[in-house]
Amino acid sequence: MTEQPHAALTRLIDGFGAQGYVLERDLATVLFLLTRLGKPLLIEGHAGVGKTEASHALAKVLDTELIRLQCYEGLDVNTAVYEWNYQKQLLAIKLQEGSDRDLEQKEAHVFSREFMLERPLLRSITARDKAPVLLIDEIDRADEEFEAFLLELLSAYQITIPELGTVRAEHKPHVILTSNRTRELSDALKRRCLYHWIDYPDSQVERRIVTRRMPDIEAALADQVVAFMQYLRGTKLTKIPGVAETLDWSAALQALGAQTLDEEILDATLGCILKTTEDMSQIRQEGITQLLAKAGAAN
Amino acid sequence: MSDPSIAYGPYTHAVFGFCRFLRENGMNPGTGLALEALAVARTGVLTDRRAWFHGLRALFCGNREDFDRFPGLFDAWWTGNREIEREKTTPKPKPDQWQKLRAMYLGGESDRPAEEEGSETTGASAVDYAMTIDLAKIPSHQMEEMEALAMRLARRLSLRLSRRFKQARRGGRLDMRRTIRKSIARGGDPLELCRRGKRPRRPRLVFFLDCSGSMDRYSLFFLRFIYILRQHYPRVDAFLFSTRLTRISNALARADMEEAMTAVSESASGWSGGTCIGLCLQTFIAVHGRDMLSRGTRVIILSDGLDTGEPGMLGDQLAAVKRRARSLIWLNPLTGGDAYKPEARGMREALPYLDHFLPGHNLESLCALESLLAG
Repeated sequence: MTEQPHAALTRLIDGFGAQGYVLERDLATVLFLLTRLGKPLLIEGHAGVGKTEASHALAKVLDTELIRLQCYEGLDVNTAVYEWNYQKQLLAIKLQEGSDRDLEQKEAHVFSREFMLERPLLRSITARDKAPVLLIDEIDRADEEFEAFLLELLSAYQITIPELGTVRAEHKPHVILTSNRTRELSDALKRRCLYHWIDYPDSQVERRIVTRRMPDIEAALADQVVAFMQYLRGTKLTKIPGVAETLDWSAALQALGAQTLDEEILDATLGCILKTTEDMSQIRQEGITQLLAKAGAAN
Repeated sequence: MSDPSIAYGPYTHAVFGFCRFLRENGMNPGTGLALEALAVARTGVLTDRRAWFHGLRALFCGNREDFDRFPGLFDAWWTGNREIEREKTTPKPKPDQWQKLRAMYLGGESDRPAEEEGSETTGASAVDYAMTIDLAKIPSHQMEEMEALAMRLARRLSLRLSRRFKQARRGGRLDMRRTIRKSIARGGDPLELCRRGKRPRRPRLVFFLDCSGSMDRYSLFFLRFIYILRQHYPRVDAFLFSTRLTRISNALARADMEEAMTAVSESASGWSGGTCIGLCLQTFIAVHGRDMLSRGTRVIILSDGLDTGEPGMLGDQLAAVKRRARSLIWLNPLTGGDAYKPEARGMREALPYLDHFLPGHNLESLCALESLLAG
């Protein structure tokens, strides 16, 4: 249990590396504290910088289950915590019609654990063997009411179900929340969490990510791809491409058998990087040839 | 966490001092966090300076601004170089971006002479005054105050708006949970059906803000209003227009208002004189009409109607929008002047297609908008 932090960090970084995730030291430290202190971690950052991916990798490294809750506007407790299995309940009620149980017993029967559908939040605190990783993705999209509910869960790690009583976590889950910062989260929630901001990687780190994920990629091509992406992020686009786009694009280039980046192949694969028509037409207007030259020169 | 044997390690003093130091520099770590910092120390990271830094940063920061500012504060405290650094990091009055943006919008504000309508007012009439003063005539020394008031107002309105939309419900899907519970008493026959409230259909609001020279001041207030509205009510889209159309919904989707305003000003760079409302609306219909115009959409245009586009175009495009939207609202700040008659060509062309034509020159008219939007 009392592994020295240095050893623990190295273990985390290596473990993430084996999953193809280039873990930087700052995030490694924070993840170490997350597991050690049992405090939830709020990760913010632009789209496609590896927020979600980090929790997948953490689950693998800890050799535990990953439970994911995708947030959206209107997410309610029934979808997030638990729901009764109505069909099964109806059937059970029919089946016990002839039995001599009294009403209360019948009711207790249909509202027992057997008839419950566990949704992510409940599942995360009922894990038997070891603490799972609970990923609450894009919390900024959920309503404020849900945020308040979450607050309650994250402080006590227990959920009260009117028909059943209170369920308390045997193993506190490792909680990671992600946010794209489309709105400010409540202070109360932020106070409960560790915080980490993931920025776009610099070219060295991004280069390492590409090689880690795609070991067979031509070195020259990888250099060009990274230089181009780094350049694009400095330009005015409505949707700035993240690392996810870099990887998609590299994979596409590789699949097409490209050795180096040229005009033709860039034009054909532009859709891997730019995700809106405005951006596409803007880049095409600027001229792909000039763009390639600029990106090369910028590097 | 409450092991007394280590709670008073040699670093305890330093950690509490650091918290105080952060507080003096505008961050807000509670006492609870100081204790947690000790817990962080006890995991062993204290011996590794980098890890100690990363750990404390994760603990004490709650947003990106603090996150970026923290390294300076950390170094200042833990290298003992406090006095010098403190001067550097004493709370900045306010990031000057906003000031810059405002200056951009409003022109050189500092040397603006106090205007006749902006004489000092006190007491209860101050509120009336603030609600009814023409936004373009606010003297510069009251600007800050008025902005704060506008924001408070916007927050209240938008909360009320989003609540109003939420409560508009009538019978909908079956509520199986309650149905079953009731059916137990009848041997499992679901005689009584319980219904869940219908998921309210939330209308989309699309704002068009005129950013030609004559309208800047009004647009500025509306931008903030829309920004705050968006925080509580996500189905809001916004565009700026002058001679061309710029979508600013993405730029507004920032957690930090100043950041959002900067992003807006960036995405709208190259504004020029003249207003082609018709042309801009045409672009809007062609590009976004399919996904934004529907029976529930309310379109709100803030403009003085001084259109310099081709005659006839504005009317045609408004008719096209009107056909596909629920309602069309036009706010015209010029209406605030009593003598105003909508005689500009653009305005006359537009009038037949509008559901509502209102003044938009003061905070009171913002309030009037509320009932129209919800209706």
